[in-house]
Formats: sequence, structure tokens, C-alpha cells
Amino acid sequence: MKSILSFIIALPLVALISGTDLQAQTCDVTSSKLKCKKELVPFRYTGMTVQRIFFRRYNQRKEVSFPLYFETKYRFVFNTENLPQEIKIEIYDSHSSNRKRNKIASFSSDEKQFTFEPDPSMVLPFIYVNFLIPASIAEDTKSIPKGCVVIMTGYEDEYAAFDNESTQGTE
Amino acid sequence: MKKSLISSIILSLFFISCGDGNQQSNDSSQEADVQEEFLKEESGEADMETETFILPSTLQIGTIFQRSGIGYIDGVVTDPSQIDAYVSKNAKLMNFGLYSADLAYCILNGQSQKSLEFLNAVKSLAEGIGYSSIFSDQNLYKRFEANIDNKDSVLNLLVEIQENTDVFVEGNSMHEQTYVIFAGAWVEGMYLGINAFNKENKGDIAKRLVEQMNIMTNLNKALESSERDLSDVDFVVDFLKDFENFYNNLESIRDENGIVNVREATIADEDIDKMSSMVKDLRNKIIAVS
Repeated sequence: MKSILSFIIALPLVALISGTDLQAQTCDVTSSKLKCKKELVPFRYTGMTVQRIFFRRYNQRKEVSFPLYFETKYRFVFNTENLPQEIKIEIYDSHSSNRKRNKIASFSSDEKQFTFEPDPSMVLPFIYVNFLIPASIAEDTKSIPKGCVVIMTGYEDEYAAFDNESTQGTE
Repeated sequence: MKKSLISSIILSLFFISCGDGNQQSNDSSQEADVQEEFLKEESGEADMETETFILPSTLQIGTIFQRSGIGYIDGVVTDPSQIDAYVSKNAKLMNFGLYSADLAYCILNGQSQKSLEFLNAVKSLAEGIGYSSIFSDQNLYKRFEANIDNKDSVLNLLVEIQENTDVFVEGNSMHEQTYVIFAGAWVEGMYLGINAFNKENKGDIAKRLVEQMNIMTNLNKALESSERDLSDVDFVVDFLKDFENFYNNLESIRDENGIVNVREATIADEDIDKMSSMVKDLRNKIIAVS
């Protein structure tokens, strides 16, 4: 009887303590996905990726490449609200091994949500999203600060008439 | 009392961790990886840079090819009633991608009856690979049937299936499976493009084929980085590597500086013939694999 009683007492207590902690650490994809989906309109959904960000004790650069079809207008929606601290997000026209590559956009995760539309006249086969993650160490020096970035992509469905002059990429 | 309190706390923690589901296990496994990296970091073995490859959706491949003048060719798609022949997980995954490409092709070309047949095939394959939750909304299937003659509505439902798949994959850390799925979809996209190639549309379709081959380079990197056992479909992995070499040596698609400009690219007829033979051969092997 005593053990049942202690179980009943302990369950909500532990759930409250641990649940809060777990929730803070977990990326809330459902909420971020909904926000991205709204921002994607009127572009047609192509895909979604959740990039887990782990803050290590040294600076990191993480690269994610996205293929682009030419004569197609894209929108990328970034949701960065699930990060415990700021990171930089840079977008390039080429792979990190190419020293002559050009930076085509740059954002801070502090914006929480932002969009990027590559200029279709550039005819890029891929864009390279780079996450610049600063070195960090947790207070206890053992746990790992972590979060995630949700990226949703869409393309303009009826972009049949390609016109260099009338279409411009925006940040 | 003390003992029972401790056991209750352990039990409670167990329930909490279970309740948090796949997302938590996903995070935990990645966290364990990072802990391991911390050890490497301390010993000076840590990698400073990582790279991830994102692949397009089957619907997008279909849409892009359709804009280039791919029309419906009777008998070009695979037989949707063959799904029971696939036994291994990789065969099912790869054909899930291949059948999904056929589904998109049929929808985009207004083939109502075929679309329904492929939807049933894709749904069965999804169940076979443990993806049944992407169809768990029964209304989705009913809406598909009810709107089968309305192309735009059906396309929206296909997007919904894609969204469900992405969420499922993210929540369950199944990215390596998506590379196998995409390999099947990629091959079928190439197969449909090559079959539609004729004198009138050759310029437009050639550009799209070049574009697809460009994406193949990412697919190969993704498959190479995969730790999944692909021994039963190694003929596909090997083919893709050979095909990348073939692509890298295609002179007809390059300008005088050796650079591929997709917008201006053309493919010589003899190269198309060779590609056609290679892709058709591979596609037949994939649908015959068990």
C-alpha cells in the first residue's frame, strides 16, 4: 500500500521535473513545421529537414546541400527558434572545398524565422547552407547544449514562363 | 518506504522516456554520438566539418520532367500488381521510391485509374517498410479516391503524403532509408525521361536528364556515407558509381572550358542511346529484385 502511495506521489513530481527538462532540450518540430508551412505559401511544399545542432567545445561549420532545378523559383523557410544560443547561417553557391565560392545570403538565428529565395537567373545546381556554430560549454561542463533548425522548401508551381528581367532573388 | 520511492522514481522515469517517443530516442542516440566525439576531441581525432545531402521529392522530379514535354506513354510504368514479389527491406524501399515516381507520373498525366492502382501499391509497400503511419489518416485515402479526376486536388494530397513521410523520417531517424527510396525514384525518373525522348522534345528533356545526373552525384555521396547494409542492392550502388563516371566523361554536355551549363546542355544521340540502354537495364533489375 505504502509503495503504491509513494508511486502516486512520485509520478507527477518526477514528470514535472524531468518533463520540463526534456521538453526544453527537445526540438519542437510540430510547432516549427506549422510556422514554416504558413510562411511557405504560395510555394508548393517540396520537403522538410530538421538539422540537429550540437554545441561543442570548438567552433564548427556544418554544410547542407540542396539541389535546385533550373527555371524554378524556390523558397526556403528557416525556423531557428529551437536553438539555445545564436548561430550564423550562410548560403553559398558552391561547396566548402571551393575557395572561390560566393556567399549569396547570410542570416542570424536570432531572427527566429526567415526566408530565402535564390535568384533563378543564377542557374545554381545546388545551394550550400552553412551553419556556423560557435564553441560553447555547458555550466556543468558535461551536458551538451543542443537545438535544431527546421528548414522547409517549396517551389513555385506554375513557373513556366522564365523571364530573367522580371524575377529577382530576395533575402 | 525509501526503496519503494526509488523504484517509483525509476518506474516514472521509464514511463516518461517511453512517452516522449521516437524524437527522444533520436536525440539520445545523437547525443551519445556527440559524447563519443567529445572523447575523440580530447584525443585530437574529432572531425571539424560535417556535410549533409538533401534530395528532391518524387513529385518534384515528375513535375520538372512534365514541364519539359513528357507526355503519358502507355505501358511505360511498371506493373502495380507486382509488389508482393519484394521480400527484402531494401528491395521494398527502392521499389517504394520507384512506384512513387510512377504514381506522380500518372497523376501529372491525368491517368485516374492508374493513379489509384499505384496509390494502392505505394500504400502496401509503405506498410511493408513500416511507413504505414503516413497513410494513417483514412480520410486521406478517401479524399484521394473522391478527387481522383481533379488533378490539382490529387497533387495536394500527394504533397500531404510527402509531408507525412518527411515528418515520419525525421521523427524516427530514418534518413539512410530515404537514400534507398530516392535511388528507386531517381532511376524511374530517368527511365521515364529517356522513354519520352523524341525529336520534338529532345532539347528540353536533355537538359533535365543532365540535371538529374547532377543530382545523382549527391545521391552517390549520400549512399557512400550510409552505414546501412546495401549488399542485396549493391548492383544499384555500383551502377550509380559507373553512371557518375559516364556522366563525368560526357563531352557533349560540356562547353569549351569543360563546364556543364544545364541551361545550354545537349546530349549527343549516341550518348542518349548508351544512357537509355544502361538505365533500362538497371530499372528492369530493380523491379525484378526480391
